Amino acid sequence: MKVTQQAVFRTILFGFSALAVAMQSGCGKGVPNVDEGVEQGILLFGNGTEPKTLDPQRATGVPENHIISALIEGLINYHLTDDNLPEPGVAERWEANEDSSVWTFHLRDDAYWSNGDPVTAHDFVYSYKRMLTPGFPGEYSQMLYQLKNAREYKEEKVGDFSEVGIRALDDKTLVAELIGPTPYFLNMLKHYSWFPVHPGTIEAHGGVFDMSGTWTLPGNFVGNGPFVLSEWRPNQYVRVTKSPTYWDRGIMKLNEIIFYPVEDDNTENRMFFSGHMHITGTVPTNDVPVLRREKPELIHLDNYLGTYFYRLNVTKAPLDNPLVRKALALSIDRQAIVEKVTLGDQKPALAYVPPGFKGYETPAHLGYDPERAQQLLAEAGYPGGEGFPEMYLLFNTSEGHRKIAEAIVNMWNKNLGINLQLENKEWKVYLDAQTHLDYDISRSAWIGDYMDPITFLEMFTTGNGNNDTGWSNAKYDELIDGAFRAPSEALHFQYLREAEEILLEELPIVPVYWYTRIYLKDPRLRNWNPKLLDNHPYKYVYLSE
Amino acid sequence: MLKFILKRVAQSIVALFVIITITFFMVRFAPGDPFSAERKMPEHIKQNLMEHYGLNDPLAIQYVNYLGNLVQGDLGPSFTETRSVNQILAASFPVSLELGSWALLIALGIGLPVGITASVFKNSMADYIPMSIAMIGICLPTFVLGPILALVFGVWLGWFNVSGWFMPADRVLPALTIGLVYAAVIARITRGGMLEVLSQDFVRTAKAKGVPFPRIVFFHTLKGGLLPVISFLGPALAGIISGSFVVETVFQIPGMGRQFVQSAFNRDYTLVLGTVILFAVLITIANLLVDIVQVIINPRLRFEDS
Repeated sequence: MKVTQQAVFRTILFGFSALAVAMQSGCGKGVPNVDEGVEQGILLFGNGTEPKTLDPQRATGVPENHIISALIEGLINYHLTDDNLPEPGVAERWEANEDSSVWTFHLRDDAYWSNGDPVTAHDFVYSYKRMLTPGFPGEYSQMLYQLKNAREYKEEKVGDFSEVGIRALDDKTLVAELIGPTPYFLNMLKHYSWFPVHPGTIEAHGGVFDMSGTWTLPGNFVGNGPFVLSEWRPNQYVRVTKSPTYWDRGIMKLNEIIFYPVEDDNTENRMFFSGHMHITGTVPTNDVPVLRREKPELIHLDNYLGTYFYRLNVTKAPLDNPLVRKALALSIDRQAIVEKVTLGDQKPALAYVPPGFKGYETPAHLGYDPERAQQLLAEAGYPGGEGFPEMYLLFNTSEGHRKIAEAIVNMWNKNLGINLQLENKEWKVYLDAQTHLDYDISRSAWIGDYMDPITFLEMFTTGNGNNDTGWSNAKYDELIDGAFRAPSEALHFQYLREAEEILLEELPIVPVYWYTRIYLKDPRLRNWNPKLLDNHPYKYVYLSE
Repeated sequence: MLKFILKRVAQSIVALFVIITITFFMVRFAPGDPFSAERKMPEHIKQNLMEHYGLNDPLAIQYVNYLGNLVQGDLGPSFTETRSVNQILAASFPVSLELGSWALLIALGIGLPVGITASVFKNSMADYIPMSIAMIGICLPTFVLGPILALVFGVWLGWFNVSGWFMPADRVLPALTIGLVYAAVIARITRGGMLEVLSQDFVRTAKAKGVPFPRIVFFHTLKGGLLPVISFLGPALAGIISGSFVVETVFQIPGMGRQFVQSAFNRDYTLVLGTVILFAVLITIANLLVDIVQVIINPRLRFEDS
């Protein structure tokens, strides 16, 4: 008996020590807290979700954008304070011909890749060729369709890449020939789909069609941005460190950024308040009013380039009737929604395109007018909501969307006498229903990609993959097409404004509010300005008492 | 015994095959696909991706291909991550295994003594108080307990990090979160099992013969009293070491539980299958171990019978 007891004891002891060893291995020195971060110039950044890829030509999401823009620099950079203004990036200077359809970029001599290679115009040509190669699954390829013959090359109607409107005149001169006048081209260029990739690295890791993404792993990644990728621990963090080859490294004060993929907003909140994060991705909705009252110096609510709206399925009665759609749009008290439901200083969306585009004034039409709405509904044949068929309001499962939906359904009931049922579906099922027009009314949202209203308005053209309402208007299509080719900025905006007027008259969508980005920020984080696209040039950002 | 194990392994392989087949077809029949997103990718680009991953082939061919790769140990590429399914599981399973082991240690370390004490001092305060607390523990879900622990010990007291998986101390709060809930269950099961054995005739005989009470508890009743705990531990072990979505999310732990849930949301077919297969294998192994231990402890069972 004694022997067995000893054996048991020994086994337990062994188990403990094995666990202790397991505990020590695989865990390093830990991560810095906010104070150490301030001392050592390490920014601790709440980045939402784990990045799916760090390949700028395959990425699509906001968290990916945050990391990629630290690692790679395009021709034009985001400005420190104003998203409408261009800031020189790899291109030191540029000029356009008189109708802005041909642009010439002069690349700076001191732009280097992180492996020491100079950044050349040929690298950009290679990158755009990769993006436009038929069969290459770059989800943002169509951003490059602004280049002449780019779409044709992608769709294999043009076989020779030399016919595509991008050329390297020499190592440092890049010429882009566009499908038409594009006064807002510089704004497009800030988007990561226009970022270069390092040709040698791509070729060394399987070439253009390699899907494994090996080249984006630490040790392999070659970028030309202010930071280099030093560590990527999936579901833990991505760590980037100051690049030794970046041309503007002299002005940089940050040495490192640690991007935490924290999906749970409460966890992020706890990380912030226990001193482990300088800036969060978001704030739990319920905490917003309290924090605004008690910690106004920490919580920030910045205007953001996004619209929350409801799609109406115009292929189905009674929503095929514009009068009904207008009645629905006029009977939503948007002020009440933002003040009592969403609570984050969002702005009532009186139109579709959010404010903030320089030179574009959104036609703010949509007021709250229940009486007019009742008249319209009566005109449509449903006086007082009588005989109005049963309809469903679809949203993806989320407490926030449910609250908004409940409030709006209640307003429609009170103002129009109609009843709608709420229907929530899991994300992918909801997307599937929306794509196949298998809904009556569906919650939606859109975030702008670049600083031009066309990034919002283009999607409602006939047959656009993101239309999803069944709505089609020839005049609208014509105006958007005209806007893409308008020779002057004034005309471009005029077309867009006319298009938005049509959209707000026809209302295949009902705008609800314009987004704000809500986050907590350590007051010691400097040069972090409110930005509509939420892009912050890291090279200017610093931490200081 | 060897014959018994071999038989069980053969049964398990059949069960695994059935699980893989059902999962394979069920995820394919779920609405949506891995590439659907709010901002839709152009149709021709989606077709390119589908082609690349072989998703345009007839389902039967995809199934055969998948099984072919699986036999060679290749679980395929993930549709949503840069890493392959093998790499994802290789990185996340050890984390869950470690967390689960700590949690199990806590669960047994607290659950067994409390349960035994309660059964010995039946219907006294030493029974009522721990058992009432255990009842609360069973009712308290991890998504409540986890944030409370993080708030109290992380934010207020500052003893531990509120999240992360970097230092040894980072194991404490998540392991406690899982461990305490299981400890409560184990305490109640232990108490029940012990009480049943303590009321049997041989215990009375032993008492009558003057055997000291502690000896009765530890050498005569414990073996039998723990049988229900061991049956419970089989499935619990597989669950506890394969990760918890809630705890991993609350504490930001790179474990397998989140992969399991997220892959289903993302329709990441290969990752769903990979996690399901791993989980199924774990359950099978755990149950087999439990069966063996039970026969060893309980002489009334024989390998042939079970």
